[in-house]
Amino acid sequence: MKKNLIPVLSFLFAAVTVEAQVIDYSAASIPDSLKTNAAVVKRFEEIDFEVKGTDRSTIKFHQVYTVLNKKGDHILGFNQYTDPHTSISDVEIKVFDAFGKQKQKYNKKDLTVVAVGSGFMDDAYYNYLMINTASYPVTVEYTYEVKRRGTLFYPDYTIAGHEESVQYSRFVATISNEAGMHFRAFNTSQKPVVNNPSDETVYTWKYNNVKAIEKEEGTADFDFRNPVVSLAPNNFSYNGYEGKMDNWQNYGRWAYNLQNGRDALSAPKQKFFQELVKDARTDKEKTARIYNYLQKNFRYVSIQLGIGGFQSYSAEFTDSKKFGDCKALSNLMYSALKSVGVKSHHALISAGANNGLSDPNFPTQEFNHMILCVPNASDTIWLECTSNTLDFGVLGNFTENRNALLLTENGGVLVSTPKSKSSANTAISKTVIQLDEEGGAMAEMRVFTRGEYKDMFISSLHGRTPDDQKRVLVNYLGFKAPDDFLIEKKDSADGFNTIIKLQYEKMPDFSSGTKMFLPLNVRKLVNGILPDGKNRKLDYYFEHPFEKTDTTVFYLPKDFMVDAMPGNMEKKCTQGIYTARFWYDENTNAIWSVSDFKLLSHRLPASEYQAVATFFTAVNKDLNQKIIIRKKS
Amino acid sequence: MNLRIPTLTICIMAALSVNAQKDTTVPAFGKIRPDEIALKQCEFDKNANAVILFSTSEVYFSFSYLNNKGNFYTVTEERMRIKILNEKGVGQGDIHLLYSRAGNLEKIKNISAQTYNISPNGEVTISKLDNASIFEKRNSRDQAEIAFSFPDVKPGSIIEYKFQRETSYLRSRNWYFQADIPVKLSRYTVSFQNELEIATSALCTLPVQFQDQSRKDRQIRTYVMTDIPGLRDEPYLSCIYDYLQRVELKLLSAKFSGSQRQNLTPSWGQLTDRLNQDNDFGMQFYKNLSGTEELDAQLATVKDPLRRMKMVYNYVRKNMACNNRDNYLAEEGMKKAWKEKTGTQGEVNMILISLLKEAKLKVRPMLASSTEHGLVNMVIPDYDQFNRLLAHVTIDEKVYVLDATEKYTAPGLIPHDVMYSQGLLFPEKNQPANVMNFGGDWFDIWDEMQLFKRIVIITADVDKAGDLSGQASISNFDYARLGKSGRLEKGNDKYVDDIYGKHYQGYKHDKLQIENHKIDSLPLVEKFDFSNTLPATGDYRYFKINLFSGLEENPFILDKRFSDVFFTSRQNFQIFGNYTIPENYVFEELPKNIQLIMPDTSIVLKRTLSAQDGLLSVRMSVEYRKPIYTLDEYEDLQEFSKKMYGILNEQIVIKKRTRP
Repeated sequence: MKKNLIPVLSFLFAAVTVEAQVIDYSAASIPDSLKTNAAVVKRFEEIDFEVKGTDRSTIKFHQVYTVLNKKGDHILGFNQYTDPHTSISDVEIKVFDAFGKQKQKYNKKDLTVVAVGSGFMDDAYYNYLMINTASYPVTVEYTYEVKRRGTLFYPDYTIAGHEESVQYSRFVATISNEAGMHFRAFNTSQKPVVNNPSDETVYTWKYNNVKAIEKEEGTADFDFRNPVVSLAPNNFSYNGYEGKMDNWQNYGRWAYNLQNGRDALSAPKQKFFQELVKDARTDKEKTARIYNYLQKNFRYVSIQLGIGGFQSYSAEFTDSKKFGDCKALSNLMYSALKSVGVKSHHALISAGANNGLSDPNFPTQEFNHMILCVPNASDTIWLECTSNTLDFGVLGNFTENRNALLLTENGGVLVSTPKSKSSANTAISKTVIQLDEEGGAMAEMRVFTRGEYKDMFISSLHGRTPDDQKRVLVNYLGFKAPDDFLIEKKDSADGFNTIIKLQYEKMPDFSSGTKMFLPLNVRKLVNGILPDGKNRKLDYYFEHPFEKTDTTVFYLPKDFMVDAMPGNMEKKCTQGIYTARFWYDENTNAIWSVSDFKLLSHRLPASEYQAVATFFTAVNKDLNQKIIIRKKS
Repeated sequence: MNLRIPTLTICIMAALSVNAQKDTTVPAFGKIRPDEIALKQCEFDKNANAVILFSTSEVYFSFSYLNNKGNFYTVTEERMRIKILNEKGVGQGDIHLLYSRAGNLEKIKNISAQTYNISPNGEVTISKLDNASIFEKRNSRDQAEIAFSFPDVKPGSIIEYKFQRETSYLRSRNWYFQADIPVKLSRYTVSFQNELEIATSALCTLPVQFQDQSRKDRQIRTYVMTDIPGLRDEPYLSCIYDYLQRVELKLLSAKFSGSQRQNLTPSWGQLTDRLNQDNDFGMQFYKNLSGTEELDAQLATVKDPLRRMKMVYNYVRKNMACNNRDNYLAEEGMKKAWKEKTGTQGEVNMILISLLKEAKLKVRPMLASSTEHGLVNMVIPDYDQFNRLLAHVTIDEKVYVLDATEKYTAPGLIPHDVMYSQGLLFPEKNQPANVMNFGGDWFDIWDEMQLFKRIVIITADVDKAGDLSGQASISNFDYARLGKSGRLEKGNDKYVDDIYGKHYQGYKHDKLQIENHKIDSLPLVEKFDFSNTLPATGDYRYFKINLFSGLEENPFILDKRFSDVFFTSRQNFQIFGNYTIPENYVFEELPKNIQLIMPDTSIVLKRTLSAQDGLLSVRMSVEYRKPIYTLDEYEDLQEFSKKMYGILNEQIVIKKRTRP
């Protein structure tokens, strides 16, 4: 008898101590402390993530947000991604007014389904609904479930987004022991509560009253201050292919196996590549010749269907079509090199300027691109196989400054890609300007470009209509708008040169009487200042470091002389240096100005931000000075 | 008054004769001509990366009558051949053929595609597209596509494809001669049985050749256009589809022996009638709406009709959210939309019109097309020409146009989106349609007194150290309120940086005050303190007087244009400035007082300055007297703009006194 009583009693106690989370939809009850810096308040969140075996997972979402003003509009857009392995169900969306009264209700049939359409072909869809509101604050409640086949991706738990405060949020991950999980916490020291019932492990995180954090401009993707927990599987399966992600070596092994064997090239094709490099003396030279051939004969077409998102088309197929995506083109390069005895590795990477670092201690599937690595005793060669214009061995800011996962017979190896160098991105110009009595001018500029500038000139300037070129000259390159111009390419021994001829009806920015106020040159060496950042916490990232030099000569009209010239300038900071010198040559009645600007690193540490921002503002001020000439009396 | 005459008018067409000057035949599929091989550059569009050698479409309308049931169907044969001229053109090798999913009535079939590459010795290698490389994909509820990518494409390649489109109804679509790359030859053929009556109109500025042939039982019309430059986006472009060289096709009627003529296209009068009886339109109006006590209470105390109109407009704006700005029809119904406080653009304004009627105002529904949606073609009646429902209110002979989905537009200010266009009027409640059977009841949506107007007042001084500091007060009237009101919804934080950051780098600002943000019948006023270290060269310093006006940068830098410049309304800018300079500086020669007028007097720029005892007074004004400049007026506009911005941006120079 007594024995039976105890289970009943404990049931009763359990009922009493169960935490009942009541949802308050009214905006009035939000405490002021949670409104500071917030555009959105997350009122309630319960997410249940469950992995069964290694091939199925479900995520159940129940979230309530109050949007305080227009800046939080992104919360009013519900958007869930589906594809052959991902489906959504049990969708319920409710909208409440400021008092917490329900106004509208939607479910799955109200969602608009539209193809993602990234690249040429893919099999993914967006399922979205835009909620419209006449006034703020407005509260929305989302309840839905996502089912996945394949466990390559575990979700991130974003406790709070930028400018978002949180009243209550709870995340539970129930992971089968077969799959397992590793996780990494950012900006939160809270550890989850872990339980081990039978053959699974349950992790629970709970947060109350988290204050909103502002967003800073110009940060890198991997640098943020809001709290997030990233999760990743230890063992997974995807599209029927099983693998391990407990360390980089094992994950790399899975990716390697997907690629393995797709490199077969027919005997005649192999002979073709061997002929191509027959008198090349070094491996580097062989690699350069083949890379050059691919750049001239292949084009980029992105087709991502099913496992094709992770496994390339065969080398033979890619060669027959003369097109492919990053995987196919890298794989073809790999196969071609193999046929001439040069060893290389496919390399997975998270691409995008200042995107993705890849942490040696946290293996996860975050890669969106593939490049090729040709190891070499003295200098490793990296190849971006999707570019028709990059110089051989140059990656560009798209994939520099981070880690890539090399796929080798022994599994994955994380290695770092080269660091961006300012001397690799240069623009050196020499400009000659002939002025006439009325202030008109004919100018000719010869610009030598390397790295990102060379790429930019080739893609945006050359081969474009005159109107597009004018737009680029004026809006992106900081040129004074010419009345007429001509742009020509000039390949020469020293590299890639561009000749820009310009004609101006009025060269001076303005005049006063017979005095003409000329700009320091036809284009600004640097355009723009850094945004305000008094109490900046995170590092600021530029697109890339660079070095620019300009030499400009103004030939004055016969009856004109110098009235005033700026003094020599020099401004310095830890990140950069700017110098300018001006002098007048009496013999030729010409004014010379030579200026130089170097930005040494793409990464600006937060501690130096103010000083560097001041540097940029000072340089821009200097660049606004004028050269003043006047008619001889 | 016929407001906006489309630049592309129904043009006089040259007859296509056997002795035509231009060869309008196209080679058979697979046969490449020597001139196509030799082509290295497009003569009439020299920077083009690729050129369409020919693009042809043959539309065959057919009809069969079985067991007293009529079946219409359309078969279209499409052919395209493109030459890739350089690296940038290889992307033309990715093809997406879109088709409608509605009712499974459209199919694309019999696709053939191949790439031709010519070796230096003239040998042509053909790479065929294999069927396995053709993808089919659903894009959305209504649209799907067939996609394929040509193999072996590089500069110098010629690619060509053909396919058939079969549609189980009479598919009337416009044919666009023009594309975003140049087209050497574009040919459009429509073949239809004598029982069908079809209207085709070629809308273009370039010459087009036309031929009309009769066969025993059908008619064949052919349009050919050659050497068409490619086209792209430009500043103040209203709607690109209004400017593409094209043929518009409309099925008018069908008359089969033994039966009555069926009208396939209504007249405007019939269209107005039908919409008025439609469940998703006319039948929705004037139903009783519950829960309007707040409005009723307000209206009870006010008799003046104008004030009553404003009350109703503001009430609907406050309560209703819009979930589809391009749908003038009801989806859930006006009553349900009111209950849920969200609806289509049509539903929101049905509510507005119904409540205005209840408030005893003289109101009529009016349909219009927004600028982006394109001009209304008054020759061919079509339901799809419109995307907005408006309230046309008459008080004491004056008309007010209202759209309750406009968040920042004061009542009485014509909505920006529909300004300077034609609206189709519907009768008042329970009134018969006041039109002849054919025409529609049109209204010119335009008011020359409604402007984009801004007044800037600056008071500033330069101190001994050469720093400029002062106060700015910027008043934004009517249309000038709109953009800034929108931005203010996100808060005052960083407002000055967002609005003025681009052209005022390095300026510091402080103490921002905004007046009348929520009172949209008054000007929106921005007040703030600002300062700037003046650039100096030697003993000179200089500063701009065209501050915070919105006229900092000339948008018309491009030389070639293919569309009208559309400003929407007339515009008025005024800048007043008072500047003092320190004792140790003097003014250098000041810019002259000047007045600059466009040849047709449509733009007037005035500048007057006077300086005395270290105080400079400046007054500048710019007046745009018309809202639109047609293509042939662009050259003058561009020339004038260059001069005007040069004058506006002239700076004031001061020089340190030299010791006597």
